[in-house]
Amino acid sequence: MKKGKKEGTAVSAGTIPKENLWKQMKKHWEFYLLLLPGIIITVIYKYIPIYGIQIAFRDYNAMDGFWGSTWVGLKWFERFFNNYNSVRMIRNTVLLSLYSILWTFPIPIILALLINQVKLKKFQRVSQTVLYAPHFISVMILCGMLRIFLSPYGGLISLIMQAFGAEPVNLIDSSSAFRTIYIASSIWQDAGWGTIIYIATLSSVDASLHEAAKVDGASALQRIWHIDIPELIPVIVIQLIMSFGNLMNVGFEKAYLLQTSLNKETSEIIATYVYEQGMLKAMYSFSTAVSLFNTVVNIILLLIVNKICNKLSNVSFV
Amino acid sequence: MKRIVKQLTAMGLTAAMALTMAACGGKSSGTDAAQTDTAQTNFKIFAGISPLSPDNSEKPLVKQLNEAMGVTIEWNCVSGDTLTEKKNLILNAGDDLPDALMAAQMTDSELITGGSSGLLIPLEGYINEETMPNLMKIVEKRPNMLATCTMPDGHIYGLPSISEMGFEYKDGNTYYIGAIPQFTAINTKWLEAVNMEMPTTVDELHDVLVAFKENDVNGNGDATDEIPMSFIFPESNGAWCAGMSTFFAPFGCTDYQMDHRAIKDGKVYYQAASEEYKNAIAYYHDWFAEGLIDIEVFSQDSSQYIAKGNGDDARLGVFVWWEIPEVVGKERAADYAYLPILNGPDGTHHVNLNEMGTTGHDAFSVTKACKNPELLLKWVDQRYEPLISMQCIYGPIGVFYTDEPDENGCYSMRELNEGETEGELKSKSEWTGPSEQLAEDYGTYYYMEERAQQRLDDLNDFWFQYVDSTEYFPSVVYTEEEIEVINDKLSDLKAMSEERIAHWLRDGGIENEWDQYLSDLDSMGLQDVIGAWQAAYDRYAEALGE
Amino acid sequence: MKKESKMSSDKVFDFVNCAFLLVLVIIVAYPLYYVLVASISDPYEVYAGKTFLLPSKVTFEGYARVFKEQSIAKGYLNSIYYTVLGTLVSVALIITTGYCVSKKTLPFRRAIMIFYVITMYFGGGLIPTYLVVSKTGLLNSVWSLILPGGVAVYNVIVARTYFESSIPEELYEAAAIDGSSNLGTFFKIALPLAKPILAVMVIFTMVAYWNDWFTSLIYMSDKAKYPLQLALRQILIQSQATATMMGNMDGGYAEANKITELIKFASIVVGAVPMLIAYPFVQKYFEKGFMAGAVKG
Repeated sequence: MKKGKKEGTAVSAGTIPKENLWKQMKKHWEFYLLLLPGIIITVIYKYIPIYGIQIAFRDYNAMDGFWGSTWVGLKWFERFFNNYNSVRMIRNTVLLSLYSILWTFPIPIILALLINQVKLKKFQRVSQTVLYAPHFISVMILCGMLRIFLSPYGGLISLIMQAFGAEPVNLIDSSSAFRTIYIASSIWQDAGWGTIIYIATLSSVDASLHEAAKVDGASALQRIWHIDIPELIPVIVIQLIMSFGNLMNVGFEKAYLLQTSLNKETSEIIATYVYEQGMLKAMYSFSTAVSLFNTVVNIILLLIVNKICNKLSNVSFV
Repeated sequence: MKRIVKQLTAMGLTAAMALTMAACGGKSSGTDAAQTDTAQTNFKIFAGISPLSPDNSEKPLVKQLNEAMGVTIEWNCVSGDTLTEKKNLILNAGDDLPDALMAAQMTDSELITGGSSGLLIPLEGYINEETMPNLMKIVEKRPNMLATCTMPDGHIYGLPSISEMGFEYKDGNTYYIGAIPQFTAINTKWLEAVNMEMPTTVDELHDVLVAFKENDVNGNGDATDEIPMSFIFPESNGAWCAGMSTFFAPFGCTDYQMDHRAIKDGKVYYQAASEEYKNAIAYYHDWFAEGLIDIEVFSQDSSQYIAKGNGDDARLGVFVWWEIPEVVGKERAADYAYLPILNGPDGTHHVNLNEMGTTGHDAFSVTKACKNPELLLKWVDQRYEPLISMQCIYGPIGVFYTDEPDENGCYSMRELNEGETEGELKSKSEWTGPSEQLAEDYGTYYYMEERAQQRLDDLNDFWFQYVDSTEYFPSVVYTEEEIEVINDKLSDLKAMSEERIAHWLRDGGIENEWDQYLSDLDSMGLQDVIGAWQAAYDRYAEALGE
Repeated sequence: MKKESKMSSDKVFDFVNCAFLLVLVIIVAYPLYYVLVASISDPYEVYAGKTFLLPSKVTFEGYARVFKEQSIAKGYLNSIYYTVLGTLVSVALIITTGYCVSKKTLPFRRAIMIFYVITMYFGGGLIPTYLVVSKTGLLNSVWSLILPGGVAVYNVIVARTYFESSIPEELYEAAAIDGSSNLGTFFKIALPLAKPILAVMVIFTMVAYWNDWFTSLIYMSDKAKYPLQLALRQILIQSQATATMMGNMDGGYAEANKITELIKFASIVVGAVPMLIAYPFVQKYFEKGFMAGAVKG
């Protein structure tokens, strides 16, 4: 019996004659059974509510409801793009996200590889727990701490900088420092958490492979390069694709909490703008429209990066 | 197998369709008149409560009022940010409407939209001797009150609340405790240490601040830890009482109103675009450059700010707040005194009073789901009786107040137990909703809190002497179009203003960029917003004139 | 000679590696330590920057406030219940779905993936979802926290990747030859080998459920059903609201504000500790070498 190992063999009904397709499906009936609950839940709770998206093109108000609210076409999108600061917002969102990915993507990988090499089990365990613990600190507390640490009057970082002769400056207000602060704190908070998936993948590497390599005279770094990293490639690629697929979704909370009148040049992102707009009344239509815009950009990025990664490493998103 | 799959699919699709249909049935049959059913004595109320407070169903005052009217209430109490989310869900999902919303902070927008679509029913028909006698008594004393809660379509969708914590000024008018929300204070001990007099002009203050900065006035051996002047900019950072507006007075204006709305001789304008404002910002930039102002004014929150005032060493020379002791602690409060409103370089000053905000109409609305509004309103009317109102606002007799009134017939707050604070006790005991608190209630039924009284006295004795014009923008009601315009444009305008001003204060450059700024504001719709404000005001003035 | 020098270069690597990680751990741990210190120090001292090393003017008021509330004990119990149930259901869905779509021979596999990925990007929003939840009778029930989230597609993709790359095809073929059914293969071969990814999914899901407060806010009307994070949040907001109100009448803002700050820090500690305790138990499932030999066997 030939097992189709080629990608996409049994995928679409168009490539296989109908009776064979049906036979394939029957052979896999248990899989469909396993898939069924998830699909049902998704249909009910994810697909049915999708009609809500239309309010991106309507002027939603509660009484007319979703279907009865006036159709306004692209009004909200126009409003979004015509806003005085729209270019700045979009630019800030994209840049913040790109820089974030650039800095925060490689670190968990490197950390995972290093931790994996630690021989003392206790130290390995403890270091993992400490490294991922910051994930639990809420953004609110994090920003509160940043304010204190960066305060020109006796904040820890300020003290260190002044020891090097720098003038006391309120870094929180600085638009040039904003991205650095944002990304550095993201690294602190999530790098450790990000190692989890990589460490788990590495754990399924056969230890005897490493042993054999050692016998052959490979150094630790060589072993990492030739054994560990290839094992991680599929996961890394998927993570990368998904990061780009989320580019426009830079979280609002941290940017909002770190934003001051003076650093808006870099700190005003799409999400904070939409939030401020919504303060006056529940602007469901407007925020839905902006979300839709973000989604479209994300999907385009996703498809592009997916194609590139697929060509380079044969790993694909779907 | 095939058949089962087919059937399941069919059922699934039908279910999906049915759900979709039901879900889109959001359009309400709002045009049908609510059918009255005088038998209804059980009401479902969605109520906002203070987070510290127990559920309304447990409050003895509630039980008392229920029994008096023979009514039972099913409460759905929420607090904090749950309130806004849940309220939006109720109003927007149109699902499972309660009979009424109480203390739900209904915005004008929600009232107008809810009213015009029929979700909320008009209430003016019930405001009469028969149904709401207590409220009528208040209306007699304050005839304008109903006008402030009547929507442009002529109906009342939210019952009024009135809270007159104010003082009577020598001109015979009553002014609200928040008329000047930002008191400026100066460290008199430091003044002595540098041998200088209380400043009367901005230039004098400048010299004082320089002296504060350069000397070790707090005597701790470190000449660099003194902060000559601090505040929080802008007010919208949640620090409406810590802004620098009082320092604009020497230049001809103050900007206490968070939307930068001001009025002069009946003409409404945007304070953050006025000539006086510009002069003030230009002047103070120099102080920034000289290091006289706390670098953190643009980023700190009130916790950080207050922490600077407290702490082992005195660090603040001049600061702004609602009062003095809060910021510097009780012991150090004696070292500070109010800094009077200063004269500008031209020898004058001008104060724009803050808006009064004594009446509100966001505390009680009835939905079309209610079958017996008459009884419900009779029930809620009990709250307008002065003694009941007092207990609603602060807490029941015996719990917040002493068991018995004193010889004047007035109740005062009971002795606090160890570890209790007044604010907490109030939070735990109050029952939020429509209420009244007229100026004449103080001293008749109960006494005002000491600190509030203190502040009113200070306003009367000290601050108001600097006030030339007592004009202020009143509580008005906007039309739906006006609200649309304001909602659309105001937040962008404010954001732009606040961002630019912050830069000009810290970095300078206002002279060159001011004209561009004004034209940017206009292109963003400033004149439309001012127009909306003006129109609402004109209507109000006309109604008064009648 | 060559072997020896390679081995000592290994030792150097180990030493450098451990030293580097140690420094890193200290740097990362410091802010955590700071949170602990701040949760028991006078907030004015914290803001004045006096608590970078040691607590100052120690006070346990924050913790006292938090634990005084009955809602906390209930919150803990609720959270444990929701987390356990939710994790069981969610992980089951994720792993089964991930496994099935990892099977390259499954017809319409791609279509199913696309079906799921769409939900990652397009959603109807809060109100339509709320309506559906309401109409399916899930309001105020634990299932409203579990079902409307659907299947976590991101996790499915990660799981799928694991199944595709870490479990060799030969194993499945061998099992088929031995006469095992598809389900049998899943339970007897794939699952045991999937322990690391199971562990990861458990961690991700567990933490997500534990930290969630927004979903309960929307769907739970009964305060007694609030999970821990929501209860903590309510306490915090209580405190903030009291402080703000005070500013209006009688002062006491500063006092109340102080307590708010303490509560902020204390809540973090109280909320995070259970997860920090639970992690090591799950972690051992993906320790290096745990799976060694399992594949061969």
